[in-house]
Amino acid sequence: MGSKMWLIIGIVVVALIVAFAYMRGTDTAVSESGPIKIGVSMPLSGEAASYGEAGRAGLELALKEINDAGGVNGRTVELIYEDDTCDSTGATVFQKLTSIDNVVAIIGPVCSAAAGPALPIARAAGTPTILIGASAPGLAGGDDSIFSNYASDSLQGKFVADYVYNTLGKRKVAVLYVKNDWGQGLQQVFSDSFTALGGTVVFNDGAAQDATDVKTLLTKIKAEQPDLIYLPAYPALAVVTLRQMKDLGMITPVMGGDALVGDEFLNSGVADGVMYVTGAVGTPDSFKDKVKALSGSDTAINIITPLGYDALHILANVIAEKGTDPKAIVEGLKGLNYTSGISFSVISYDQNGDLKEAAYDVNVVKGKTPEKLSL
Amino acid sequence: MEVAVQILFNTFVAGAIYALVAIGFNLIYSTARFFDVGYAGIAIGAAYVVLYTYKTLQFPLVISIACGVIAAGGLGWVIEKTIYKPLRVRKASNTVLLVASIGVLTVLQSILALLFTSQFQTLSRDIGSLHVLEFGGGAITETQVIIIVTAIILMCAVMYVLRYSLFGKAIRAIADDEEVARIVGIPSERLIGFVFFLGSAIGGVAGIASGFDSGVHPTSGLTLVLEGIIAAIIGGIGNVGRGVLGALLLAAIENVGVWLVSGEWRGAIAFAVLILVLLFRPRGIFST
Repeated sequence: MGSKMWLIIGIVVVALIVAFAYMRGTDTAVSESGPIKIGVSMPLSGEAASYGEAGRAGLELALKEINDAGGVNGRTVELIYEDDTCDSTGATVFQKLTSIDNVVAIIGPVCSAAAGPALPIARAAGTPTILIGASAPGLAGGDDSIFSNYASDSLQGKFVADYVYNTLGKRKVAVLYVKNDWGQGLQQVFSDSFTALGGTVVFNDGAAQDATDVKTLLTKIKAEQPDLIYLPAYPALAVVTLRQMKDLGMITPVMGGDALVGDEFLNSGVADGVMYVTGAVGTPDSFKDKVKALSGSDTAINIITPLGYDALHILANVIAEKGTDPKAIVEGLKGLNYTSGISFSVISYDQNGDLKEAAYDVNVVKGKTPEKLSL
Repeated sequence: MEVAVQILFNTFVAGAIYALVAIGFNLIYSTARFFDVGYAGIAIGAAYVVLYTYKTLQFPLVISIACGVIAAGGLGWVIEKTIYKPLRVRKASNTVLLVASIGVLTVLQSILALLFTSQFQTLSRDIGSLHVLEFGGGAITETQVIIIVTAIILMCAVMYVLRYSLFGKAIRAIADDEEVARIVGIPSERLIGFVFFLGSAIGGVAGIASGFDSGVHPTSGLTLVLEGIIAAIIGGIGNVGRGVLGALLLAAIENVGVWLVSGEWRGAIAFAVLILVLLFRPRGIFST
């Protein structure tokens, strides 16, 4: 078999692959019959996997309820789950969901770090997207097809600044944030709001999402003797920071962001005593019981569960009324006034696609369980 | 100046971990003559073995660490015999071996992620019982002191063996010129296997130390070993003693840089130093 033979075989194989891909790819329009496909972008592995698992539990319950009731306009709903690993893989996920799977709408991402790179793709394609946790300021921005079921961090940062200054009475705060869209957004809003209230931010620096040694940053913080450390970090960096704080003998109180709501942080052994803020998302026990009945009694449930649940029901309602044309769905979402939600009593969006109202809870970790503090 | 003392302590701990990585890496490089990136997977694999034996099986600490170190050495030896040796026998170039080691690293990381999930996990069983010692205003934990002492002991042991023992002389001969060493009668294949065992075991110690200091994650081996490789190159690749000095220097530059400039520049500073060294003193700062 000479090398010419291999060359011919190679060309034939390549030609076959190209032809096959071309034939698959010409199906660009959203199908008008068969199951309604909705894409889901969540972290299913990695440091934030518990958010993805919790979200999936809520989505599965909503899916079952919708399909048991006959689906939407007689068509069953199908969810296509993709793992965005809470980072820029989100862009690849969105590319696949919009171009290859031709989904009607997308639920997610949960992480701002995934949403930042991913959303321009949905925006360009006009795919209706409901964020269920990604909260960096400006993500849902503009009059487009992006909506968020979870309040933007421009509100969270302000709330934390107000709580730390007025309720906790702290005046000198050090900020250590994770260097991605979420952390940077939060620290910016917090620092501006806290300084405007009259407090001082004595230290403000960031570390990479996968950093393993922040001892020198902590040494600098220790030298400034702040009253509190604000730590908008994802679980991996938060665990490393708290561990190394203990190593350095630092006992400054720590306030974290809503990324600490997962089991990775609560079970890490360093979470005890840490405060963190989350959106005041309702998770009534009756809802939790229904989720556990479907997904198993040891399913991780956190605020992402009702967010995912409501997002799917909202989409089902809008599609039932307006059909599967993306522009019609976006119109339907813009005029939404949803009152059957579990996460919030009223869900409606402002002109940017953000939730009109937001409320927050402050939790403190006792052992491994979070306890809500009364505000 | 409390802050200066603390920075000094931070430098020693980080430097000790980088030094451990550099020692193992230099041992392997000096005999096998290629960049073994798979070393990173073995180093973090050792940390995961300790995670399993210490936290899941609840073995005592020393036994868990021994398991991890021996597992690392054994894994290194097996990989050398099954992957690198056949390639060497076929006179594969260093680039091919490097690519093969990248494959080894990817496979190891994937296996670890499959077995242990890609969540970030800590090694210690009970954080509460941490002993923190304070000297001159700086704090250092018992674990960190043990890491530093271990690094010093290993460095001295390896340098002594390389210099004064017959085994060490044989290794240096192979490092100099493998073919001539074989002609002279040194069983180079057997010794290279042993060097891989030793180097990987030391890499395992580095991975375990890093795991105790911060935590483990399937991909954290690569970051750790990259720092160690930079340290080895800055000091003078192939030489164990110079690698240790390079490690200390790198740790010092990184920590002082973070102190004076900002945490965001940490990685940039490390690689900038590497580029400068490669441009102006490619054989290493401490080479003659």
